[in-house]
Amino acid sequence: MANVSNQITRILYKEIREGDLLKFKAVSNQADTGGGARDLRISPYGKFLPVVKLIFPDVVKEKRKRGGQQVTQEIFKGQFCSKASDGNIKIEEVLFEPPTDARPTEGRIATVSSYSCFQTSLEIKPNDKLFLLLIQKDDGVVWPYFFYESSFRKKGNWHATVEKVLIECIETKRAPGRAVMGYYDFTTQKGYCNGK
Amino acid sequence: MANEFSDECKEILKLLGLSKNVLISGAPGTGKSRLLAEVAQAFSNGIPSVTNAIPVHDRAGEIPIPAVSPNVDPGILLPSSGKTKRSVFRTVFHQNSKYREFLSGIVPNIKVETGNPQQFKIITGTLYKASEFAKAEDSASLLIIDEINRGPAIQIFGGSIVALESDKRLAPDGNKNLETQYFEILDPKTGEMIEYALPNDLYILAAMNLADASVEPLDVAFLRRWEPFRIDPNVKTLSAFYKLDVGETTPLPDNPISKVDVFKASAKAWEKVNERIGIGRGVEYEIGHGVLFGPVEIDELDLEKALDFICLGWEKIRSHVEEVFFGDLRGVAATFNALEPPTYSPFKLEEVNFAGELRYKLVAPKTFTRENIYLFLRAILDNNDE
Repeated sequence: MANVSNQITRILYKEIREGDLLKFKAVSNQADTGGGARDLRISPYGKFLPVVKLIFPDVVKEKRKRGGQQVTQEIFKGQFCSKASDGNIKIEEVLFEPPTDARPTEGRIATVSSYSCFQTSLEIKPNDKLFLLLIQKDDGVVWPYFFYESSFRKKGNWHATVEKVLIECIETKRAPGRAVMGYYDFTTQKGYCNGK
Repeated sequence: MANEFSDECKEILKLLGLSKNVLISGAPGTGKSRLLAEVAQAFSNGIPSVTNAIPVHDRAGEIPIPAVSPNVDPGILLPSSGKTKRSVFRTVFHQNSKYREFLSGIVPNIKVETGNPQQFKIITGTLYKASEFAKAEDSASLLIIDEINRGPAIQIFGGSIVALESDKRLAPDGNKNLETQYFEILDPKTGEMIEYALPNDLYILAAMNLADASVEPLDVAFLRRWEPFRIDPNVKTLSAFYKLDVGETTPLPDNPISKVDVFKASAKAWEKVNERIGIGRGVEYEIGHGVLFGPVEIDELDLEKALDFICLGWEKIRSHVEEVFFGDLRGVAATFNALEPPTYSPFKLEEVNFAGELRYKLVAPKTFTRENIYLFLRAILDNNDE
């Protein structure tokens, strides 16, 4: 039956750079005021919002400081799975925060260092981009993985659509310094890549 | 993994090819929405290839979404299989859905530009867009309507209701048939009322819950324009998920010895609860097997984790039963065998005196835990009167 088929409904991918890796390892600069220094930023928020709402389908109301004031804000929440070192599956509720006043185009996967599903031993390599790949299954659960660009370029390695989507997005023109980011939804066969 | 579509998906593709319009119905949790997505994928992919084979998650492998081999399934009868441009359009009906969002209509123009002082504009809806797509050369479209009875379906379809059936459509070449039915719409191109007919290569697949608090009744005249496809709660599907041997009939022990006892109790109690809902409220109020599914690998669970896992699904079943028997505490108690329960049952209906009158009170734990869930399931099954 479909519900136990392990079918994949969508993927979201983001190039991980040195600064991002520090966030995962909780060694990035962390301001006393918070400020999201350990948040993984996803932008442009508006382009990713449709898929964010599917990957983080629950909405919770949390208090946040905006413009010096405490406000109640809707935060998105999703179920993320990872395999622990003892072989057991760990399920975590991961939060996605909408933009702040200071960064109105960026959504954020909050405090990535606090989730075991985002732990990786991989390092940044020259000429081989590192990617975080969020894979959502048809049961709604999301599995995060880290892979190098070279893995996607190896023929016959990945599902053909995943290979095509990733490579095309990597090769798309974008502003220097801008990380590769995008998503692909297998149920609608539509996606987004942040290049031009 | 090969491109494996379920038997239900293949059957629906066949029905769409025959009748153009298919209506899936079933209890919540029977997999209707999932089936819609599967049919959409099969329809838009056309002939399976390496690129469009369904991607699957391989947790044990080196690559989580590995490459697959092409495998054309001869069992699939794809509607309009000769058409290479294929698209799926989707909508969900709700209580505020309108005809204009489905066909066409006038709405306020909130972006009035300088030199273009129009106060209103014409919008096109999902059915119109799907229809126009299918009218183009070498094209076919599938319109998916989820929760079709959550909104006023007859109002939303408007005059198009007369043109839905396959013999009322335009001919495959786009020309009028003897029986083609036209209805009037506001032409988005000219703003004039025009006669409109639906194309041959437009397919409509809808889904609905048979019974729920906010659903609207559907006319018989509307329903007869659809090929029905019913999905029932399926114990075989649940047993397959739990990895149970269907033919196994060993009685349940007083306390679970292994996770097999836990899952066997869960599957049997779920069947019994559905049986009682069917008698007490009607089969259309049953709860589907999907409510007991979850993001776990059954093989990797030990006894305690299995108990924790089934608690999640049974909380949903408990809420469902309380909702369908709302105001009928005896109905809830009867479903959970709490009228005259065995002594170990955590659920018990008690008679209490309130303002000089007899009232009922369901004594039950606030939530299910690994300590009480197995006793609760056993108690559901432990009924000498049946």
